Amino acid sequence: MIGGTDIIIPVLNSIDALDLAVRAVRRLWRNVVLEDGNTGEVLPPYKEISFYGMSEVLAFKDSAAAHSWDKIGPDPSLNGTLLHFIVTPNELTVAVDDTPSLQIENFIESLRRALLQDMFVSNAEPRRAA
Amino acid sequence: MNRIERDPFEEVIRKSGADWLIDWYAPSDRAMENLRRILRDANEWGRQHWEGNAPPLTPEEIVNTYATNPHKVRAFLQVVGSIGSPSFLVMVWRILQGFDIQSVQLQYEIDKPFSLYIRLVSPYGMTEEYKSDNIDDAVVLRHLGTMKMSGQGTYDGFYALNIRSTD
Repeated sequence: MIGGTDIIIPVLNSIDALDLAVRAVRRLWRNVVLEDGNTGEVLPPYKEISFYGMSEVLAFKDSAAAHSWDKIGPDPSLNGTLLHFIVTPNELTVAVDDTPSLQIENFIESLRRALLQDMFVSNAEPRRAA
Repeated sequence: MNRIERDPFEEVIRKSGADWLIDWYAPSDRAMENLRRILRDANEWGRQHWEGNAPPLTPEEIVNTYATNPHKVRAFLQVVGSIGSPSFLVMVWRILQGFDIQSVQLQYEIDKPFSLYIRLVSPYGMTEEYKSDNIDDAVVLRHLGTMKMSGQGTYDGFYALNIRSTD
């Protein structure tokens, strides 16, 4: 991931969006290692994660990938082993490789579609009495 | 000087935007008592069925969870008044704790008994089954996150709906 690409998904509730992204990436990579992007601390199991106030999550494919990222940093040999989720009040940004694998592309598309459900984003106008 | 003690559970309900749980209940001064009873029933169901593995489902637990994961409490409170069975409240709490939804089977035919079956699996592989013949419990389906993973449809997570007030 040298350079990388930011994919921005508009959301209404960023904390819900980050929660969904974390749940989803656990399915993408069964041995995923999650880190708080601000503190660098490895996150506990989902049940114990405190999402309140969290703004960045790094998802490494597995512990070997996490170790390699720590050791050598961005390197072409690590393509496809890291997803970086960043939330701001109305957006979820997913930073991926410049040329993401098909698996990652499909994952991002699924995530985007999931976040388009009306529980996460709403474009509907308020209903008015006739 | 008299100090007004605020009920932390009520405060969390109001901060979560679920004031209507209190204000729409008739009589509204009994709303908190009713909500506590609903939680007590769910907690009791959990203790009877899952014994030592039962998730504590108490006002205190909800207040504590709000501090770290307010979005989960918001989602939970949106269904606490409308779910028909105590067991399904326990199920919702389990999903919020990270259980995966392994199976959903809904059976509906007009003028025939309704049936909803949901099987969850814990992060450690333990399964739990929830069954209902009460269509009020179908409210949970609206809150489940849906995704396609490897081409397969997946239910995952339990989320608050973006409820807008209507004029």
